[in-house]
Order: sequence, then structure tokens, then C-alpha cells
Amino acid sequence: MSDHGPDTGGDDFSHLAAEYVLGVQDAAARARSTERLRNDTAFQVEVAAWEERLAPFLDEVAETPAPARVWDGVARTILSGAKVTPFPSRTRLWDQVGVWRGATAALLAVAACLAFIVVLPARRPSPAVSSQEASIAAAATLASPSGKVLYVATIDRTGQRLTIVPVQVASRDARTPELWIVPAGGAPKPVGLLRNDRPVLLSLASLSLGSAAPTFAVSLEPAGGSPTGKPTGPVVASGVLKSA
Amino acid sequence: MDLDQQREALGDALLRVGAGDSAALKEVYERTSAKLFGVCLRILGEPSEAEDVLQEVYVSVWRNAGAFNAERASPITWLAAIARNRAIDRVRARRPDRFAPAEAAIALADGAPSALARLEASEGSAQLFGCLGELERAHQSAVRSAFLDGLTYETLARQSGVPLGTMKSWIRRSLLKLKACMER
Repeated sequence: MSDHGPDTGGDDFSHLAAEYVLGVQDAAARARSTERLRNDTAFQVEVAAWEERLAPFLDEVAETPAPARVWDGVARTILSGAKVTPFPSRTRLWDQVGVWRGATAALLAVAACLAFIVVLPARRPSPAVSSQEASIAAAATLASPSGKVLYVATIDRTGQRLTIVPVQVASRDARTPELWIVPAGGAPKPVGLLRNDRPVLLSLASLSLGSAAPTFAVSLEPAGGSPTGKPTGPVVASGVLKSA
Repeated sequence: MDLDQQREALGDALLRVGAGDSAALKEVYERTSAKLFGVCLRILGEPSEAEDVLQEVYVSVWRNAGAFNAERASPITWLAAIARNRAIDRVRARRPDRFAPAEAAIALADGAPSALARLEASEGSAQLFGCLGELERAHQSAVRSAFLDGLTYETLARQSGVPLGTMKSWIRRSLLKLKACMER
């Protein structure tokens, strides 16, 4: 082999995995590997094998205590964001497309009814009804800028549990959809990560929605969600929460 | 607590993190943050950046611990991979003329292996270092430096004073030999 020969690693699956684990790729090649890692199970297995092979190198890294502010930052971030609680994931029911579509249709119907109720003056809560009661059982349809409904969000009567159902997938983008709540006049707050293949149940317990109708927005983020606590990727869908 | 027990305790804590137990995250942090901070510092060079990345790492662990599978990955390898990947991504996002100062990185590497490091100091360790010993010295140090310092082919080539193509072929041959040797 010539020392000046071209990089012959292009087709070599295992070598590509090793290069990724070793970390020698430039930004563009690394981005391609990261992308592949999301969707290619065989590649994931090969990467994991290389991680294990090369892990003993970590013995050479000296332990260095991190300043206490690092943990404080972690604690602040995880406590401010709602914990994602997916629907029971092993349930076969959710794997059945028909049932899943039925659930979506039902929720869409609920959302449509709620939207309808809102425009009926007779059904509006009277001023005597407390604002807390008025803010419960609400729904939002989250649409793309071109008007396609991508998600339906509903909030139960406790005001604490938010269900988000994916209606259609906007693009093949492999990034993770993350839900944000944008209080009127406020900065977006992370609510949780969404799935495009099944509904997720999120808790709103730690978020104060305020009295004005908040907006929900979905942005595309790296795996694991936005690293900064603010949306870093494009906003693909948004919608205003409507109370019933 | 012997090494197997430590590994098991860490794996258990990760599983509890996956179930949403924030006290378990604190436990994982206490057991592993000094190691992972060392990993981030070595790649990034700058303590403030390493702190940022370390924070992201544990937030990511909180969100993704459900994906940890104790049967498929060792807990510390899984955690270290998250830290290395985040740190390397951060370095790659920098302007291309900046890279971690190798001298500072080497100075950080001189600690004796800690209890946690020895979690993995097992069969795999003897195997890797045994097989590494069969490579030429320059190739050994290129592989080690790539992994620990998160350097690109380009930076490795510049530091070793060899053309880029030479460095790529050194690494390629080294990895092939390592894999073959470790599968023996």
C-alpha cells in the first residue's frame, strides 16, 4: 500500500465505525457517521464493539473532580424540564397501525370539538368560573408553516398531563422533535422529546402555563434534546393552546 | 466493593435513571463525573468548555438512560462514549485552526489509574495493550492520541510531521491489526 494512496476506507463498514469511535473524522465525515448511527442497526453494533475494544485507553485519563456548579447546572436543567413518560412502549396495541390511526382520529375529533366549543359564546366559561378551571381540558393543533397539522396536543382535566399524538411526519429529518411551551411574552421552556412513531405523555406539573394562552412549538434537535435549554434547530410546527 | 460489584452498582444506578430516578442520576454523577471530566478536559483543553460539555453529558444521560442496555454495553464505556462524542462534536464545531493543545493534554494523562479506571482494567485491557504493543511505536501513539485527544487525521498528520495520506494509512493498518489481534 502506498503511503500516499487515497483513503480506501470508504466502503469498509468496520473501518468507518472505528474511525468514528476513534474520532479522527473531520466535521463533515463525522456528521455523516452520526446520521448513519441513527438509522443503521448493524453500524450501531459495530460502533459499540469498537467502543468496547478501545475503552481500556480510558484508563490513561486522569480523574479530575468537576466543580460543584456542574452538578448544580445538571440538577437545574433536569428539574426545570418535564420528565418524558412515553406510553407503555412494549404494548403491541400501539404497534398496530389501525389502532394507532384510530387513536389519532379520535384525538383529532376531540381537538376539533374543543376548537368548536371555544367559538361558541354560550359555552365559554362565565367570569364566575375560576381561571384555574377555565385553563383545563385544552387542545392545540400544531401545524407546519405551510398549514399541515403535524401533531395534536391535548391537556387533561388536571391540567398536568399533556398527550401529544403525531399525525404526520414532516420530513425524513433524523433529528429529534422537541416540544416547547412559549408563554405569552416569555422565553420557550422545554417540555419534552416527542416521537414521530407513537404518542407521548408529558407532565406539565413543573411548568406554570400562566393565564394567557401559551403557544406550543416543535423544533428539531440533536438526539437527547437541545443541549442549551433553548431551541437550536428549525421550528417545524406550532400552535396556540385553546381552552375549552 | 470489588470491581464487578462497582460495575454492577453503576449499571443498576443507570437503570434507575432510565426509570426517572433523579437520586440515581446523582449517584451516577458521583461515581463517574471525575472520570468524564478528565475525558472532556483532555479533548477540549479548556476547563470552562469541558464543564459545559460535562453538564450536557449528564443531562443527556438523564434523557437517554432508558436506552442503556446492561447486557450490551458496560456502563462506564457507555457513559464515556457519550462524553467523548459530545466533546469531539464540540471541538469539530470550532474554527478549524483551533485544536486542543497536545502538551496540556499529555500533562493531564499522568495520573495513576483510579478505582473507576480499573473498572475496565480487565481482560479487554490486557488484550488491547498487548495488541497495541505489536504495532510500530509511531502508529501506537497515533491511535492513542486520536482516541484520547479527539484529533482529526489532519491534526495527527501535522503533529507527527507526515503527509495526511500516510497518517490515514497508519491508522487504517493499525485498526485492522488491532481488530484481528483482539479477535484471536
